[in-house]
Amino acid sequence: MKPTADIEENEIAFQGRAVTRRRFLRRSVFGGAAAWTLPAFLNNTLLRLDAGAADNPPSGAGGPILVIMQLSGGNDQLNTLIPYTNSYYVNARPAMALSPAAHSAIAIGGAPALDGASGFDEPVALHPLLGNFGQFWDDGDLAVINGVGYPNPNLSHFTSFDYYHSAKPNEFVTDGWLGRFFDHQCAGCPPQTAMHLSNGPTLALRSVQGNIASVSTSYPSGMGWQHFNERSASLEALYRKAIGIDHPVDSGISAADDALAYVQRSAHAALLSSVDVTRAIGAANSSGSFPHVAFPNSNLGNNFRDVAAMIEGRLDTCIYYVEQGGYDTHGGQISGNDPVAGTHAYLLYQLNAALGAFVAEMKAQGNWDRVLILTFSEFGRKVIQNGSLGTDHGAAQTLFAMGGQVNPGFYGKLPDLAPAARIKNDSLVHNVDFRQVYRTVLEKWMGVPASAMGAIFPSQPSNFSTLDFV
Amino acid sequence: MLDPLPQGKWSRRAADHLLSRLAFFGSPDQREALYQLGKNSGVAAAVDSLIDPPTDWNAWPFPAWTATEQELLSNHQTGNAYSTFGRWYMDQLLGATPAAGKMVKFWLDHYACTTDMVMTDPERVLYMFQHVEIIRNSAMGNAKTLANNIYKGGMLIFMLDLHVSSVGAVNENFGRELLELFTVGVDGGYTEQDVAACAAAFTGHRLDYYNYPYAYYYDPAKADMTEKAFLGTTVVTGDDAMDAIFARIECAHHLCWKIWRYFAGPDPSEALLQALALRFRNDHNYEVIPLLKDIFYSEEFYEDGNIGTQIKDPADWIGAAVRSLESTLLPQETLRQAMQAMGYTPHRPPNVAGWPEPIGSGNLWLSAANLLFRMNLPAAYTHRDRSLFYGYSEHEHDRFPELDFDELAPPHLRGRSEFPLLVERLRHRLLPFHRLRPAQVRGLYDAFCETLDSSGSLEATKDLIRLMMALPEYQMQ
Repeated sequence: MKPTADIEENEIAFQGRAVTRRRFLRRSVFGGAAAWTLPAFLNNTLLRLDAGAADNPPSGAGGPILVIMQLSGGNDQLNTLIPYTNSYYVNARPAMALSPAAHSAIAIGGAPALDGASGFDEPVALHPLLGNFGQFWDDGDLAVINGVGYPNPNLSHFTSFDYYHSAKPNEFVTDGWLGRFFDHQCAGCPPQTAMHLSNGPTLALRSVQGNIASVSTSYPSGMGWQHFNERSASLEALYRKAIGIDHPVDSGISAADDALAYVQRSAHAALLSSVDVTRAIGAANSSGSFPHVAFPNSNLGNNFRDVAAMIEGRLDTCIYYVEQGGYDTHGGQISGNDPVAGTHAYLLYQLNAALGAFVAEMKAQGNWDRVLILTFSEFGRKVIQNGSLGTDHGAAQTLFAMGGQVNPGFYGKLPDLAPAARIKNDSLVHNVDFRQVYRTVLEKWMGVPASAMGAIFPSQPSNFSTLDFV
Repeated sequence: MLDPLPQGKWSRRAADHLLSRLAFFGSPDQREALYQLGKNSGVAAAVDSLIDPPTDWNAWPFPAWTATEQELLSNHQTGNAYSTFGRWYMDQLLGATPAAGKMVKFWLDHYACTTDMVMTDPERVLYMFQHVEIIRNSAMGNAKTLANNIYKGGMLIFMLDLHVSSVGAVNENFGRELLELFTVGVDGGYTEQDVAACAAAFTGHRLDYYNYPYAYYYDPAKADMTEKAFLGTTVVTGDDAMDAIFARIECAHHLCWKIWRYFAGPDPSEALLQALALRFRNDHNYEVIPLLKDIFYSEEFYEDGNIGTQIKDPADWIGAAVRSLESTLLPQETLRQAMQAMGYTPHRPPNVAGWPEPIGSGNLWLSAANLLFRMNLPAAYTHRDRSLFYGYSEHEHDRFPELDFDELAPPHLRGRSEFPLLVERLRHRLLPFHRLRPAQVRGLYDAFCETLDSSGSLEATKDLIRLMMALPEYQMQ
């Protein structure tokens, strides 16, 4: 590569198309189609400095926001959305089955089901500790997507997560579905285009073309160069020089796309984004009105409080990615003789509390109509309870989408619970491919043109239909 | 395939590469000594010197307070148990024979267990120490022996629900992960029926977790003693199942794949893996030491693409800092916080698959948060900065010894005109596999001069070392 020439070309291209930083971002996030290359990453680093100087502080992102809520470990879909009158369900879970009458599960009507040949509406209820989900349903802000999965399901946590993260089931995976979104639709995006609230990155955001448009940190307000003595500020400036951030010619990034180049790019992205992220959170915290509601004092609650702060602080982020672990409830899913106590109930309680606070905060900020929250897990669990008051790995699952502009209702169908209809030792068969959900989110919510879908979802069959939940 | 590195290709760079992977790197003197050993006595002698000396693990006994239930409980409640554990663990990694320390770290990742899964408090503290004890006793021994011992420890039993898996009420968690993670791998050619049979074979394993010392026992009444079709053969007990598993070449293949990636490079060729797997199973009967010698004697290990291209994991980072700065481990609580901030809490892996593994040219250890912490952490060594750590009025980090700056950067080199010599000396010590680009040298020079003028030569030296350890290149080994 010839860094100097590449940069000149890209600078010319840049001057021709954007004036303000905000317009530049919007255009490039949602309109561009340029493939991302290593020189483009370098170029972007430099452009951001120019743009930041010309239009500072950020004018804020006014576009749609996607919040991915990952439930790690395999959420028990049948203990989340409960087909309480289904005899297969009741008989398969003698110690665990829930109902509105006996356990105050929250009935939300009848969901289209594949039970039997003709199909009918199966009465379903939310877990009794999902009271805020019930409120979202009543408010018309909740869509329930049943029967989600993929062909030939894999019951390994890791393989199945790889498939959900990559959107390439039954293939060798190298990148994530959101990473490919960055690669193909996000030329010029800043590193914090996606904020991942975890100290370890996720494959979902992994891009192969050298673009680091995502930042992973569980403590965003603590990001940055540590200033512990009076020389630190100037030392930071010299450090930026030593790794090449401020050098138009010597970017500091290895020409080979190797592990060192990856670290160098990560170092640039981390330092650049830390400035914007801490500024946005600082702006929210000093606004005097944030937070408008109390967030629960849990890891998940703190994560959603940080997300809400970044939205309030007008950070130019369009994807927030939050994780909650612990759903691998092989044992002690319920405790004692109480099917509404135990590990799974506690996880749902925490999820419900954190999302309840976040949604209330979004409404108070006036941002609820800009937000779409999508929950998912790597798989659902088996129909039957196991020998230790738990459930083992299964296949098809139920997803939830919520937001001020969601089209409420049921999508997909409840799988047939009959033993003869199950696969892989009592797991459920899917009828909605999860890539349909992803495509719906990108195309109908994020505004990605349909023409880009072939590149973002290259696996066959590649032309997935969308759903109507947004 | 797997031919020994010719003696003529032995070099200081090769010795540094060997030390950076099979040990936690070394001081300039240690590096030179290893190079001379290999030059004078042969490559094999150099490799063997890092592998063969036995380790006396009794040098790291359990803390005295693990002797009673009451003291276990109080140390759990204060949190002292966990910071003690982290320092105890890292002390062993650095104090053992180099290869043994690295293999303990490998196996702890392989048999990843989190104390979060163990619900009652005193026993989980004891189990986490015992888990390391089981690992260290076989780390350089036999991989199959280790597999047979590890599932009789409380950590793994709780982690994978083995204590609640009984005949007629089988919990498949252990059976699945034994196949997928610990032995043949997810592509190891097993079916869902094999998973079920495997789980049924490992029934009857129990823990007396109400009574100190919460010992393992086998309850035949809970065991499924029927014959089960498994991996193309018939098994009854867990021992039978383990025999069937380790007879499969996929088991050796999967373990060699992980071990090669851990020590050498992320993308070993299929031919290399097949050769290693055959030796591991057929020739070495799953003995670890001869496998390590196959790897570290081999030409393939010393290929240029493997040198300086691995991202240090947090324990590597901490260990290499000790060796290359000729310093000591951070104090117990600051060490715990530093490792946690880098994503490595030894008793709390992120999931049952352990910590991140290398993927292609990247490595999931480095999120923005982790990397920013790595940029800041050097100041804890050079400036004894404790602002990264929280929670102490009488801060233990204040007792961390000052580095020997006279050794690292002799005073006669701390001037403008000697700067090229100074920076090269430090580069050799800290960044052995990378050259500095002219612009980097210029940036470091500017930093050095700025501090030299404002605060004198010692402070300038500290700033210079801090900056060099914050460079992306320093993350590599």
